[in-house]
Amino acid sequence: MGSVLTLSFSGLPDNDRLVLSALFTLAETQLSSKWQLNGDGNSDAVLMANGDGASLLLMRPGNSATSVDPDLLQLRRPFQHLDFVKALNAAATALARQTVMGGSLAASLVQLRNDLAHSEAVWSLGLPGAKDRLWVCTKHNSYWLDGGDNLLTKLDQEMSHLEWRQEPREQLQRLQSEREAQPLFRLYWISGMLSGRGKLLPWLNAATPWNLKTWPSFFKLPHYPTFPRMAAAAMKKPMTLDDLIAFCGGNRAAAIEFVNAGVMAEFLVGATSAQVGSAAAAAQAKPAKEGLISRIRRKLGLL
Amino acid sequence: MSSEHKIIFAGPTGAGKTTAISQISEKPPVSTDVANSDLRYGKATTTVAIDFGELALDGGEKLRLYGVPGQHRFSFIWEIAARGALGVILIADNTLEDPMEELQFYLQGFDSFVQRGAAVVVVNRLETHPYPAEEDYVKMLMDRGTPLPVMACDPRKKDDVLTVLDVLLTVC
Repeated sequence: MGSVLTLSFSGLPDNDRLVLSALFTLAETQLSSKWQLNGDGNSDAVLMANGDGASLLLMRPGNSATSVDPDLLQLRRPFQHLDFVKALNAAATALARQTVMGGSLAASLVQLRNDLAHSEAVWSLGLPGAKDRLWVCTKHNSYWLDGGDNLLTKLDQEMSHLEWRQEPREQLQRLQSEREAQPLFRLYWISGMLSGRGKLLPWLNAATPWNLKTWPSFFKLPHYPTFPRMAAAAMKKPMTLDDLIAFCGGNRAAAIEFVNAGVMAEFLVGATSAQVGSAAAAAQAKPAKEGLISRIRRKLGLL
Repeated sequence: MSSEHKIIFAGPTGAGKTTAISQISEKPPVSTDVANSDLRYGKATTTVAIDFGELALDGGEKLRLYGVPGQHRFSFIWEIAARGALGVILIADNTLEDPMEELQFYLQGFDSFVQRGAAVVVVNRLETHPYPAEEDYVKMLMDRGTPLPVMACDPRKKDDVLTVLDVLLTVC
């Protein structure tokens, strides 16, 4: 995202266009981000005519309707200066959040999880023109998938062009009777492995020490051979990304995918400074066994 | 410093302790198998005494792998065998009627290891008997306040056994 957000008008009557242009000029000092009016229509947000005023539409690819309270984006006649300021600030926040997250399956799932926690609604995602789909229900903690895990890879690659679709209420029953449900933690985990593309997910901090909150069910989860060792290490004490890389023999890619997957599935959580302190104290108090453990690992070919 | 170190394999009869040890021991495990008198289990012979395998480490040290008898009446042997051990691998057999209840017995028997987190729970035959699932074991362990790693493992596969040992060496 550039430092200036762009706004354009679409289909507005001349009067509305004049009033809103004037309000835009007036609003400038109260906006949380810098905006400019853009005449060519290729903008971050568009004010589009509706029956009783205008709707502010966010145009960034991969945007979801759930990212911002839709009421905040409705401007009704007579247009109010304060409503316009609120709408543009809400839009700027949503656009900034989206830029941080990027257009990926993991990012969209985080958003879905945050916005629709415990919702009965079923949301689905599919490639344009394709029959196979992914369905998610947060309340039932389940997902259903046609086309196997390969579809998830494709969805992640195309995510910036895709939109989640809310399914009719009866879809839940249909899915439950026709397909095997899988636990959502598996979807979150896989999305973490896919969406990083070799990097830590953009909203994660490499310096965070991670604690293992729950042991991952590796039987159900795709993983590299070093993942269980990293999970065990993070179970014992908080581990930063660099700690994990060192612990798995310098395999940076595996450590990154482990953190991305673990955080997405909520098996890994950021450690508090108290936890970091008590782990350091415990390590000092404990007799050193590292030499012995290394000798055993070497003998077993585990180094 | 001791030149001998121990890792314990514990679990019900037929769970795969001897098989797991045989995957990594440098010498064939020394076992004492006798005719099975316990009708709950299908094995014709079963280990009733401590059996062990061995690995020679650099510098003349040895790692001994002990399988302790699975039958409850031999549980008095556990304490002796486990004294000074690095950690314990507790094997659950998912073909049993209530493998999690059975596991409780071993969690109590090796409580000092469990409390300090020097133990791994291994679930055998999860492919054919998927319930309880790994996450059910994880939840049970968290509920009792003793979170431990839980690994699906086929003791006939060396890589599976090595992964379990790798995890145990990390937490012990």
